[in-house]
Amino acid sequence: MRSKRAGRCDDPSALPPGEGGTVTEGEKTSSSRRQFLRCAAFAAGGLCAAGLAAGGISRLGRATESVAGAIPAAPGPVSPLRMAKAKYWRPLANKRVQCLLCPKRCEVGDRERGFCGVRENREGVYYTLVYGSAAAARPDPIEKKPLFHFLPGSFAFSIATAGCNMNCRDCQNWDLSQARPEQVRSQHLLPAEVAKLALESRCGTIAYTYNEPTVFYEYVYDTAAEGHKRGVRSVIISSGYINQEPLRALLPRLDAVKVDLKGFTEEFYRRYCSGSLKPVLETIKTVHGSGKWLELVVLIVPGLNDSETAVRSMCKWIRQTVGADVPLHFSRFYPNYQLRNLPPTPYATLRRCQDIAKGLGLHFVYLGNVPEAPSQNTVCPGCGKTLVERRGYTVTAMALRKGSCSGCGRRIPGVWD
Amino acid sequence: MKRRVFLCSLGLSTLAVTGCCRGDSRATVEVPDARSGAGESREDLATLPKGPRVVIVRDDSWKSEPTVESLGMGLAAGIVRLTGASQPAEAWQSLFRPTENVAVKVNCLAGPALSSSPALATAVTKELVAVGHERGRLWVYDRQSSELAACGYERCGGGDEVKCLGTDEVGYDDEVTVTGEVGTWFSLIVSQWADALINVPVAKDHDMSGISGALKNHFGSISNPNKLHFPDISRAIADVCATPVLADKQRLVVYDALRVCYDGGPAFKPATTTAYGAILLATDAVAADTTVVRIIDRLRAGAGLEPLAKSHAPPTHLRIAADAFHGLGCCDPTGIELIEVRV
Repeated sequence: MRSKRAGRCDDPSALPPGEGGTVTEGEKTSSSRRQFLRCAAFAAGGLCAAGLAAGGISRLGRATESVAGAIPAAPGPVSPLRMAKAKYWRPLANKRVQCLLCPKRCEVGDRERGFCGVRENREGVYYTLVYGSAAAARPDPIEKKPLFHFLPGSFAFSIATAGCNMNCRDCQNWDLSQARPEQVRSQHLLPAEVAKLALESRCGTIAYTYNEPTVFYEYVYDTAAEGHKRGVRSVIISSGYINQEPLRALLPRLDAVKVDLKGFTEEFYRRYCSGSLKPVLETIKTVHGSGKWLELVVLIVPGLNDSETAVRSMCKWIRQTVGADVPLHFSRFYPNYQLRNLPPTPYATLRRCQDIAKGLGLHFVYLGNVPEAPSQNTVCPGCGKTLVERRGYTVTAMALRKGSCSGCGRRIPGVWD
Repeated sequence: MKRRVFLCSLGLSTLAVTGCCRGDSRATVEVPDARSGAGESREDLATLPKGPRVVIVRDDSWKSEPTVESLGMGLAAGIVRLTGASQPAEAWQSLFRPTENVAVKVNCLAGPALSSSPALATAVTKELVAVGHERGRLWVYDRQSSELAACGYERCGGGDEVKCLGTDEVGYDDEVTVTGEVGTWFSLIVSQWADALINVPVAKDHDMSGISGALKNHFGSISNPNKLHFPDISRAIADVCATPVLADKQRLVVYDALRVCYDGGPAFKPATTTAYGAILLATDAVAADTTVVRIIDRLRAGAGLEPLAKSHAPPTHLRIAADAFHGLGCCDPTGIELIEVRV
């Protein structure tokens, strides 16, 4: 039996160009777990001193928007575990329960937790341990999610908890996703407080992100409602690995969904994500059918999901199932978590994926994690005019007129105001 | 980085991470001054008997009121028979050097009614101290200090005393360890502090792995046991225990079978938990678990239940742990030498 310890990514050349970390939604490649915790403690302490003691977090504005390093934890002290009754489960014999939230359908014994690590059976009742426990809370550019056709240039108040219902070997946020709630610094932020903070931070949107929102479903559900009461929209950044019933119940409270399509084979999902593809495809269909804004992201991992066959099959499926107007982002992989032995995705590979997608008729195909590339701009598929120009996460120019191309007048799909 | 420097920084980062909500009530984790005996040759230690051996020590008084003193006597008798030494001191010293840091893994998941007895853990550490081990080189741990406290363990941050703290106060490895197909992070107590481990599991049924015994107990030494319960808990248990950080350090299993839960575990189920009044000692964790399966099966038969092997959760992890790939011990009951001791 051999076990291996993944080495740290200390080689600066392995980092992406630009801002000292990867520029994906998950933005820490090189920081270790303890560095993360130290950073979290520092950030928490500083912010706590700055504003929390005075009874608010009003200083938590855009000034905190830094993209380098680890994800800062929410300000304030560590919260003890708080249990709230979970949605979507059923009791079984002998005080066991079955979770019905995600396709894993974990059967969980008394005092045990589901695969996600944030839902626990106590005496035959299933509880969530992360309701109101924000492990991250801060404004982010919406482009960072990435959502390119949803209020470009705006900020989303981004919250996360611990836990995930998958285990992707390339996870960019494993410090959060693979942790249990008691292992991360969290702040008790009730849904109404999140909505209030979003407004105070001048964010028109709340994003449920960094870790998988499915595992903090109840928190999302209530926070989205609180946001809507105040005119704040909600978007989830999800793997789409959720059962249909809870998804359909949540969608009316959402305004946009970004789905991470990890690959396009069941084998890839099973082997590298501890999940399965079919439910994710069902999620994509359901979100599209609901009329909510949808964008797709595929992290291209060299040698694992970058074959021409897989990419072509995926793009054909997208074209046929949700149409050519759903934006598709091919994102660059950087070595992380359990796949530190692989190289970053070559730019040429991403270009090849983009060419395949465009060749199959997809209108909006972007390349992510390559800030130097021009392929982050939104271009009119009709006349070729650049409509939204981006540099990194910043929108530098807009040439949309009421959601239409200012050159040819073609309507550009998205949520623009 | 020198070990002591590391551990000091560990103490600081611990406070930074966990101390904020606790006020000043928690002391910094102190660490021993002297270097441990990690990495030293053990060639001069007494030669242990070949082949798997499990010693069952019984005392009827343990069914009602096990005391530290009586458990200590039982341990002394058992360790002598386990090692073949002539005296308890010789027996303990054949397993542990006085200069080694020894961590004692207890199991507090099910609350005070079905967790590793604090009296037993205390007896273990007292026995070591009695043969010359420094108290500061002993550490009783589980996942969380709160779980330890709920089961009657008194928190102790260190100094010259036996430490009793959960991993939540010190943290987990920075680096992921890949065990089989799953990545995990080991408790720093195990990976960085301890030179040797004593495993003090509870003899209880488990609704997914048949028993939650010596092998399964180390799910409390890692950060993400939830990820390892699915889809194949049996393989995951074997994979975790075969990781060198555990396999190379675990020297002794002291099974708490003062009470045995023969169905409905791992949580406490009063209807299927019985006073058994025994402890088991072994150096082979698989053999210890295999023996406990037999004990549980006997209790199940008495209650009209099918044996674990035919239940919805057979303990298949024992066979996997014993295979040539994992090589963790013996799961063949006929190959295990059982010695019964009454005190």
